[in-house]
Amino acid sequence: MEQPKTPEFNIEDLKQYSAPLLLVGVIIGILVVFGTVVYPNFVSIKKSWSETSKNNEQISLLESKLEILNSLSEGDLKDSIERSQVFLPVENEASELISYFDARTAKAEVVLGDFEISQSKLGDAGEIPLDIKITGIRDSIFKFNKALVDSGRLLVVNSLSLDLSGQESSGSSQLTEELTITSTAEPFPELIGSVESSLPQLTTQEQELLSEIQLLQPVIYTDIAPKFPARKNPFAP
Amino acid sequence: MPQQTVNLQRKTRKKPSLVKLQKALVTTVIVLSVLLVTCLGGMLIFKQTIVQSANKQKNRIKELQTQVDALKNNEGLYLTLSARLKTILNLRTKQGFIAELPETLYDELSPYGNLTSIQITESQVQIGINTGKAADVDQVIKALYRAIAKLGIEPTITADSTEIDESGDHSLSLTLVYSSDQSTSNIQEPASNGTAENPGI
Repeated sequence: MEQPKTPEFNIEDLKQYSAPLLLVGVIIGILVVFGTVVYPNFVSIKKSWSETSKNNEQISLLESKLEILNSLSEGDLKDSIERSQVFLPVENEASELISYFDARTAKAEVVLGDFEISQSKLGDAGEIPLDIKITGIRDSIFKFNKALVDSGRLLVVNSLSLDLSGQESSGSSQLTEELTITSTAEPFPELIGSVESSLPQLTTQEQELLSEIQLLQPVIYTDIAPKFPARKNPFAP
Repeated sequence: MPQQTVNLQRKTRKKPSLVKLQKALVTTVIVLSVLLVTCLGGMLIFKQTIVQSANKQKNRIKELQTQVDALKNNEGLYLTLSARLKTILNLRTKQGFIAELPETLYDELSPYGNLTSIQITESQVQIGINTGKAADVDQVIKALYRAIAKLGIEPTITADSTEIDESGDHSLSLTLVYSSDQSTSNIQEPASNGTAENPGI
């Protein structure tokens, strides 16, 4: 019986594949270099590029901040802050509130009856509720209400109750009005943010208000404008 | 000897497909090599430029930070002033509405009836009014709508009670309910002539 022919292994046949195999090896080598050298460098360059863009943003922010800060006068700022207390005091003080309402009631020719302040919140910043009762003729009461709005200091009337039942057509009878008012105070901040934080631009309304504040008659200030020796509290965690 | 010649010819001959493959591989190697050299060269130059630029930027940032930090007192004062201006504007929008409402209502309604009470909270007004005869009630309601238009609010009006006394006079109790947003968006700015008063100090 005849055996099937098996192909003979010939080393000479294999030799003809050596060149292509070498080229494939070179290609693999190049790809390895791409993977190990080119790609990480590409990533690193990309990262540096985005950092450069961030740095550019930071530079323009700091430049505009510096420009604003250079254009500001420390004296004018202090003066405006101190004058702004006419509208918004730094803290709620009983004596100041009482004298404020005494002056308004006297001017409007009404009698200040009850005057209640939440004791626990006195001297605090923030909002404190006041309950007041006034008595006077109709026109005087309306005058007092108007004075609350026009006189500068920000007092928000939360509720109002006016009893007109006893009035005569001449308007000379005594009427009673009860008001719940919120007095707001805002303390000066002690610290400011980081160097990189941007400065808020004043809106048109804020600029108009600032001009209004700068035109106010000089007043005796309850608190002088703050100083900022540090940006952050060094003892803060 | 003739046999040896035949063997030599067999050795040098390659399959055509192998030749094609080899050509393709050579082309690939050339292309990849050019690409690699270009990439590496480009990267080297680009990286150097970026590093130099980043260093310059860092120096500039440090310089600017020092300059800004030197003006930190101005910055603190500016931030304080800006925050106070915001608070003042915000409070002003809430300030006037309720305080000025009684006078507006009185001016509009008093020609048509006698107001007996006005009670105002943040989003509700209760009015008590003696309107006189039944025919006058309509006049009062019309006047009330005029007052509402003047105030710029869109309330829901409810008649809580109507009483008629022996002489036939009507006493109305009305409630106006409105959104508190309307009261802040339609108020007048307080008069400011630059002479705001000292708060009684």
